Amino acid sequence: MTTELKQVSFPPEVLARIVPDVSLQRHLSIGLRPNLRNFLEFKPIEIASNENNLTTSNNNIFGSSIIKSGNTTVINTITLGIVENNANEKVEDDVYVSIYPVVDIQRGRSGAPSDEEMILSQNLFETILHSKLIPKKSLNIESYGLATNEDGDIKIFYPNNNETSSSSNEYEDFESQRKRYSFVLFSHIKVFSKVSTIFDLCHVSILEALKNVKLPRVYMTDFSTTKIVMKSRNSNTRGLVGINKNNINIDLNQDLYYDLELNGDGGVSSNFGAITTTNRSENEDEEPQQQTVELLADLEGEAEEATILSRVSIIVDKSERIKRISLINGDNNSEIGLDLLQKAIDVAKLRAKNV
Amino acid sequence: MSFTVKTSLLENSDGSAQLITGDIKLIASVSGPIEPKPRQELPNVASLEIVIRPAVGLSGTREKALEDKLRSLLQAVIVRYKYPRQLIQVVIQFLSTPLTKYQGGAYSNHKDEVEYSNIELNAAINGCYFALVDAGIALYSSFASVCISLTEDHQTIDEEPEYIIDPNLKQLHKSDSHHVICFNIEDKKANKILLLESLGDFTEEQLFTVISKAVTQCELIHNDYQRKYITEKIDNDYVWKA
Repeated sequence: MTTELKQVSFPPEVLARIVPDVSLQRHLSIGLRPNLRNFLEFKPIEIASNENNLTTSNNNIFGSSIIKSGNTTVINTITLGIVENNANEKVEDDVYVSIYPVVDIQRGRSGAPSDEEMILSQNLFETILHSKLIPKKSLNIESYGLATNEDGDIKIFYPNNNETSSSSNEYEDFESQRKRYSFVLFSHIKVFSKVSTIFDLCHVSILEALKNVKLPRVYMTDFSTTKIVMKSRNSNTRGLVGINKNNINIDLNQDLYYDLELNGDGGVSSNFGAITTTNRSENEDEEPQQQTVELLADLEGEAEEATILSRVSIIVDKSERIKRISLINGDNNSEIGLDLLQKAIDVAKLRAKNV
Repeated sequence: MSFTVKTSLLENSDGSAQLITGDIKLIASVSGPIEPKPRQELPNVASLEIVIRPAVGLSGTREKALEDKLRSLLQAVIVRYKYPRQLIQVVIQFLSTPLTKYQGGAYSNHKDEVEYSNIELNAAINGCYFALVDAGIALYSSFASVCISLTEDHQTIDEEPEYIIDPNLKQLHKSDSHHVICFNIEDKKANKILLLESLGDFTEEQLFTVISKAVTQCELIHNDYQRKYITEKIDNDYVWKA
């Protein structure tokens, strides 16, 4: 007696879950990707108009962007910090700084940042830094205002729009002995419904947010003299010591906001993967089958993420200058050689020009 | 470019190597194949655990990003199907990096905050190679990595840019872009690019020049250093040593 082995067949979505590589190959052999895009087709990105009310309705947000791509939404808000500059430090023209991004991928639970989030944040930080986008000079606080309290009436004087001459003299005294400060940029990136690698999306969102960053004026108060109690460790005597604590304040008067100056456009980030496909000939008997390495743009979905290990990420700006390339050939059978790298750069350039 | 390598210096790990190159000094250790924790276990291949420790302080996002890059490279060179359900643990401890050398010293100015973590990646890759060979882990091929920086002269536009192999921190500060390229090496020849990390501002033409320069450099590293140190290691390892 013999038992016959029955051939099992799965519907496409089940096959995609158990053997993503087989499913991907089946799709590619008919010239399609699982997400129904062409091999070199990018997923469209929608950028919300600059006038979103994140910036206008929150006092602590100085730049923001909202990006959508498919179901994925990326919300980016930029906040400011102020640091004191080194006393003898001169800010040179060719010094560039970066932004400190904190990527937060929403998964319905809270906790410490995952490795993926940390790696993404660090890569974004290094990319912005080395693409020389934000000159240190543009974050420098050139001059700040002085608030005076005259009979309960608080006025802020700025060096370039002084109203009375008496206060301008006062200001100059103050100006000569002041400390130097500069802004620091923090970017908070929230990602909702992530389906693919999101470096590209985060990069766009930072650039869009940076483009509409408006920096506020800052001022100091000269009347915040307070007395604090000092107690010495060795004796029981207490004394009152007056300290003149110069507080740095941000002037939330939006008429005085000024634009952040950027160097260049920062570029457009594109990613590609390489996979070996077997072209099935029409005639089943025909041998041999042809194997070619195909380049896929903008990887998306479980099948592509799990199967394609040779990847390259390229940032090119409008003037065809390359800002970053990160290439890894993780798959020994389908490697990105020089010809495929060339092709990927060409596509990335074309995309940078048309976006 | 200079390489100083000492292998098998850690008693309790399966393989280890100390590498001094340029301003960077590190110890790489490899333990494996060992038993993994249940959540690390993969049914058909070996799982990798990469730990990078900085020279100063605790590891942070910077080290996590380095670990990620190193892992994706090692996944491609280690013959992972030879060790199913097992773990290979690679630990890189930096002993000194350009930043620790200069901090507080003559070079401590504001530019210190500029990070060049890729030169550490470059050293980690080269250090890893010796430790993996020392541990006897099966590799598909040898691999070597090189860092090249590129400085353009902005006064004379048509001038050929300056390519510096294995740049130091000062040269990196002046550079317009820097590239870390890792090639696999078969039969003493650099064969294909395993990893490429480029940051800065450069053209396509410059990139391909850098890649072609990297080919000769990687072959040089392999033929002049890797082969020499591995021959030395084998001579010392066995009872019939001279």
